Amino acid sequence: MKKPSPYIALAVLTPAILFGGIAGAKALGWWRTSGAGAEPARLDQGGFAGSYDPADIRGSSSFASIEGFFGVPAALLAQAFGFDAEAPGLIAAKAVEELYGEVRGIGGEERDVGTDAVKLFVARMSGLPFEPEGNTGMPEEGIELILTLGAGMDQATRDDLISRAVATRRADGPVSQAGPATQAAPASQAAAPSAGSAAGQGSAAAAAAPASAGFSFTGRTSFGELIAAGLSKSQIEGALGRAMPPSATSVKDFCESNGLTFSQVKTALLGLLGQ
Amino acid sequence: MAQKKRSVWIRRTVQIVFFILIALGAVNHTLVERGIEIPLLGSASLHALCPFGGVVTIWRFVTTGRLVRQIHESSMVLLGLTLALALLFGPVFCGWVCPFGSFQEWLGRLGAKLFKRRYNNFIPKKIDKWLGLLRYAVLAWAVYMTSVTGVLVFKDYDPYYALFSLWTGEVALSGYLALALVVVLGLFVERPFCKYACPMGALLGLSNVLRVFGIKRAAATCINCKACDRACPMNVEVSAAGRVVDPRCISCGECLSERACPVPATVELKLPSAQGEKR
Repeated sequence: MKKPSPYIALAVLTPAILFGGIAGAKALGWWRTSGAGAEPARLDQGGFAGSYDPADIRGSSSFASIEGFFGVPAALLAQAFGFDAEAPGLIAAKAVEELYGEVRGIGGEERDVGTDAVKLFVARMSGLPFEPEGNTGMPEEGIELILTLGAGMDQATRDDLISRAVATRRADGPVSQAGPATQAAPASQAAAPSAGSAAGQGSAAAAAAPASAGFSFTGRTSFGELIAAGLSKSQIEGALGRAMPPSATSVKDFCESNGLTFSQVKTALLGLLGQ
Repeated sequence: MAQKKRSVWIRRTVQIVFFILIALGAVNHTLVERGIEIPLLGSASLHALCPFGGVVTIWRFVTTGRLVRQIHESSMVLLGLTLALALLFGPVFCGWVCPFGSFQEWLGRLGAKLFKRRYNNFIPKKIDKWLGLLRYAVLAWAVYMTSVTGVLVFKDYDPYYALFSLWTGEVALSGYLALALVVVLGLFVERPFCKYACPMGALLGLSNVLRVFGIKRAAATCINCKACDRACPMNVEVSAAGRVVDPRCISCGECLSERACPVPATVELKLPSAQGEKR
């Protein structure tokens, strides 16, 4: 029998090992290509030790996952930064940078409104410690929400926050999303959050009806996105027949690791969403 | 001879497949952010699909259990697979998979047409060898700075990132300049980034000393025509080695008897022999 050429063997084994390894990693749940649902780091010092650190919010973090980890409703985040998405939970923090970027603040200084502004908003709403970058800006609407619904702050912090004001913009086109594609709706259809949707209370779904319109359910959809789309935890648990895992968990991963048929669970959940 | 001509397409096909996969993935990543998605393609970022992300995040991962921002578990998986491949066959990732290496190689075909035999021979061998050490400085700098700052510092100077992010508006001016420099140099020198600046290549190159299947030249049958030296894109002197352990070797296999070497079974990919092997 003719010996196989080592050159051909390289051509076959190199892709085989790479693709086979990736498939194996996927099967083991090690293949993650996004930090969208990743758990933020926890603060390790002071009175807030053990709480999630707003500084570890990532550009790819969805408003739903921020709601899940920090208790700041996705709809409130969307309103603070001028988004009126039908499913605010699907908006990624980096969409703020796309909408604002570097702008002139109301006080005349150059301000950068991006992921750092989202961290600042979350920190001031929840009372968690966070030191923003010097030029970070905050839309006026976000400042008003913090001053009305936020965790309270000393005068110096309050003055610093107000000094960062920039005019609120309105998203009128597609925005970066951590999850499957949907379009941001025009701002004129904004659903104002109730006082009950302040940090740690209420849910994004309550403030953004009909949240499920345009929702797309894929293999990457997380439980947090389902909640942002309008389902309650008890509805999800009814469809699963068991307790819901952490909101950042993907539905498909959960089904696969719990012996559930993804397509059946998906159909049941879509039914609850009226799709 | 016909068989050798056919074999040109073996590696080229693998390179084209990986290039297209990464290019489409990069485009899809941008499209997904705009609300559109090419079906069946992943939407992973370039960082998520590069094993070097695994290298720069290792220190942070070991000390804090967390990854550097913008790096995901997939980079660690790819690093593991790339190192496993390197331990078996050497830096095959560089020679067969890396889309930026392939891009430089294709650019080099234009340079070879322009300068014929002078192409890839402009820089004296001694200087070329010393310049090759630069990539270890880049590797040390990138790993150290990323560990200290927690930020992907190399991204702003990475021509690979610049090439596959041209349309995103996220590339720093230094990235565009690095890409332009590589494109210009690539007309004179084959794979200039791989040779002088690639930190991933620097790391993988070390595997040439340890690899299980090495490239070996049989001195007994070698006719000293130096066809292997001329075929090597990385200027490795295969004709002077018993077993190629030069860290610049990228395991592309161009020097093998299946490709450039005119004598059968003279330059081969083989397991190490028990004794008497000249290094």
